[in-house]
Amino acid sequence: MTGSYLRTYFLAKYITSNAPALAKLVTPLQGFMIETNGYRKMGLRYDDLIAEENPIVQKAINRLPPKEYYDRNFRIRRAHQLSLMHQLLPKDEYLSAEEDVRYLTPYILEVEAEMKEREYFDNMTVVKK
Amino acid sequence: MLVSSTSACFRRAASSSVRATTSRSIATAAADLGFETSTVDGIKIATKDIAGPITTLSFVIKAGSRYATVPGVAHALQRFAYKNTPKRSGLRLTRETELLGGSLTSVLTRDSIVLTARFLKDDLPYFFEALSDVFVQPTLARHELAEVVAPLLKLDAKLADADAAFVASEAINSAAYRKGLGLPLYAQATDSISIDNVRSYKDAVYTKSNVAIVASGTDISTLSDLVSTYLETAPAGTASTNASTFYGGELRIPSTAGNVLTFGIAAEPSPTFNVLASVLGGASSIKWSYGASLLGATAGKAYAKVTPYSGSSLLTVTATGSPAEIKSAGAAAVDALKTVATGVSSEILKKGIAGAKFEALSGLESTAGLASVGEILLGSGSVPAAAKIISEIESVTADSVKSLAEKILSEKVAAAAVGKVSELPYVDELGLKA
Repeated sequence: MTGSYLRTYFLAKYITSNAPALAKLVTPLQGFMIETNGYRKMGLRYDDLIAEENPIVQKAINRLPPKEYYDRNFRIRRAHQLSLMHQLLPKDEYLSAEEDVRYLTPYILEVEAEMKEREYFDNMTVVKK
Repeated sequence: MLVSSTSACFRRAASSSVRATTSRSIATAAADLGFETSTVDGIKIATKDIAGPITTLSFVIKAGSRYATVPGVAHALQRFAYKNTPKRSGLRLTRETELLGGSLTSVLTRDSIVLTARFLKDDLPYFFEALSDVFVQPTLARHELAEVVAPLLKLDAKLADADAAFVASEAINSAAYRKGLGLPLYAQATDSISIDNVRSYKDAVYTKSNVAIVASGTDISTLSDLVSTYLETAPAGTASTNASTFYGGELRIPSTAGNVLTFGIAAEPSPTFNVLASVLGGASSIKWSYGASLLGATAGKAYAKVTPYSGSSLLTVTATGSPAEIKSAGAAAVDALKTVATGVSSEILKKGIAGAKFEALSGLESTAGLASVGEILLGSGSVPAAAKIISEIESVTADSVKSLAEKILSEKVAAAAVGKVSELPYVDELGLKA
């Protein structure tokens, strides 16, 4: 589990900065994916979709500032309600691209890095010089 | 291998810090206590170059609970020691310390936060760098406060509550000083400390003018080089100040931890306090004997003690045991004070002075002594000569001890009763004023 989110994140980073041709190919697809996915039409951010049923994301969620934490819960509850009612938000309340902030990712990366470090120290071998 | 890389590091440090070298004053030796002192980049340093394989390094910082801007913030900052910094995580520091062999401790007192590292002599550059890193740029992350520090604060407060003697000393400080030195040492359940409080407190107190670096087992030039290499970037700041006015009064605190009655007075530090405490005595210095001091007659149920703070000393007489034992020990303590107030014979005075001298000088020895030396260094700018401490205590006269005892008997005292308060005596029942 540890490091998996980290790997995906850095793969995306690597592609955008080191493989411009590939990035050019993939970026238009991104808009299409988001559009068909439709999460913004239910008022959700991309980071709300990350599976939270694991210790890393749980810890990251607990580290959110209180306001962010509250807003996340609000968005998820609103989306649940919309899902129950088989409805989408009114068009003017769709989430815009600017509002779709990666608010949770930095915390997940931080927790993953911490766990990786702990794993490293738990499994290190001491070499005498 | 390790030794050669160490000395290379020193050469680099020495050549790269020309400015620091010129601003350094000439090291002065207080030969009898063994400390050499100096000032590097505005930081006071002292070191005792004793032979042996172990070096002890202390950062004594004027950041104790008396300076707390928000109740409990000093305790939080002390518990933040050795946590994450931008250079290395708290986990890495702990593991590396384990690998090198060493121990890191942080202690909170009313006057200061003391960061101490003990390690093998060769590892001085690593531990000096680590301690300066902790001092100069702790991350102080919000999640660390919630996940790591806050539970420790609760634990400390809980453990302290289970110690009746500690509860009594907190209460008598509160009665004696109210603010400043009267603030509780540890964060209380009622305190709400935010990370912003901790950060702004750190910015105010972790400064060059608030820190003294005291070591044993290294020489002054090595220490000076390390200070100018690693602490140049520390903010200069202004020294913390805090007045200590004596108020007095009585506090009674119900507790199941045990029974304690304590009373005393506070005033500007004076050797007379130490001599009177030594004359009253009570604390055993030999196993299986309560000694021949005046309070020795209470069979270990009462003892006198001086707690020195910067700018004020608190002289207390403390009685412990069952409420009935405390009643009789308290009465015996007041009788002892009355005996002193009628006059002190020269033999008793001599014995008191000898005891006070030993207490004062042994308090400056060993690892705990480094913190006391650092506090003195921050207060007066120099480490006192042993001869000066001795002559001050020897100049105490029988008359001054007598008048101090009279003062305690006639003026308002600070007092605290902890335990079964319904059965513990009030100090005015013992014949004192509160």
